[in-house]
Amino acid sequence: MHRPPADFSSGVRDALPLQVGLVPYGFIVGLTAVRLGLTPPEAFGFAAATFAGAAQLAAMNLLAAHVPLLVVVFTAAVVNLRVLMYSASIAPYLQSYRFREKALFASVLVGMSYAHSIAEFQRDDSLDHGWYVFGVSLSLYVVWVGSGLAGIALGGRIPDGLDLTFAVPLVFLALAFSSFRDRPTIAAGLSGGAVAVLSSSLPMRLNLVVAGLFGVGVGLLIDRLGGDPA
Amino acid sequence: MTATPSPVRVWLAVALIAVITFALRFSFIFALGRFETVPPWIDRTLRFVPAAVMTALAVPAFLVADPTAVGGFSHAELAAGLVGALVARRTEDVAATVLVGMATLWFVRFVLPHVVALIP
Repeated sequence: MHRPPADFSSGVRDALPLQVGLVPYGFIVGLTAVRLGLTPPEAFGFAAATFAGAAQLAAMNLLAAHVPLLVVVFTAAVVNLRVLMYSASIAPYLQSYRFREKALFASVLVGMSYAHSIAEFQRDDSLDHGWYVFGVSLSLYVVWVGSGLAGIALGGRIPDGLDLTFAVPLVFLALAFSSFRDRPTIAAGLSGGAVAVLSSSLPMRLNLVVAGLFGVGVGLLIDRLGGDPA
Repeated sequence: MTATPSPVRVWLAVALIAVITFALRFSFIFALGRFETVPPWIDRTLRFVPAAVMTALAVPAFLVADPTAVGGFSHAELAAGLVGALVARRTEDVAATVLVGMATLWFVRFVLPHVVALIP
């Protein structure tokens, strides 16, 4: 049985490539937060309290557009829904821990830490699962907040006119393509994008929610039509 | 165009989103003791949420209506979207997509008009 601290450190060490890769993303999100009109403390608050780049961008973008709070929060929640998958998938590995520890490990769980850890567990099941994933997640969290601070610091010094907030849809574009894996997911994406544009005259940016629902529906349909009754 | 959002709204959003995100992260980790397996329909449905939502968030920003532009849409944003999509498809890298997309935006918006103006 591995000692928890040792596997925590392994997690931190193994996550180095992920940490490096996260720096530009965290930086961009911090920078964009300030460009959108948030104060540095607010931008920092978002990064430190949520640790969810896409949801942060979506929420901050909508806040800057003076969309009602409920829609902002709901949209951010929908953007973050994929975290449920990570929770579900890693839960079996964390069953034997105390409630306090489970909550701790869960608090900073993100896609990268989940994906890397699952792969490692399949390679070496004797790892202390909880402390390993916590090591990965926490180190990524520190990098996220740190690079976010750097972006926030720089954000105030950039002249207007460069339209830096255009980085927001570009980030979503990259994340969208990362999620396209097969015909059903591509169908979900294409239909979601189409509906978002077609229903863009809806108030309160509800077109995003409508498009999301429609896209998921299309994905499920194409999946069902595709053959295997799962 | 982007006026500062009120601090109260921002901090409320931060708090609510933080709580909801934690709840989502903790959900199955907390609950799996009680239910033996993840209901398959949840798994199947969640698979499509990122694709649908990310694309829905991205696409409208690249189709900016501009009556004065050929085709009705502003060329800079459209070009940035198309080039960005190509980069995203090949690299799936956030930073690369942002860099190349922004460079395309600036090029079409600031550089190209001067180039076009030189044509007799």
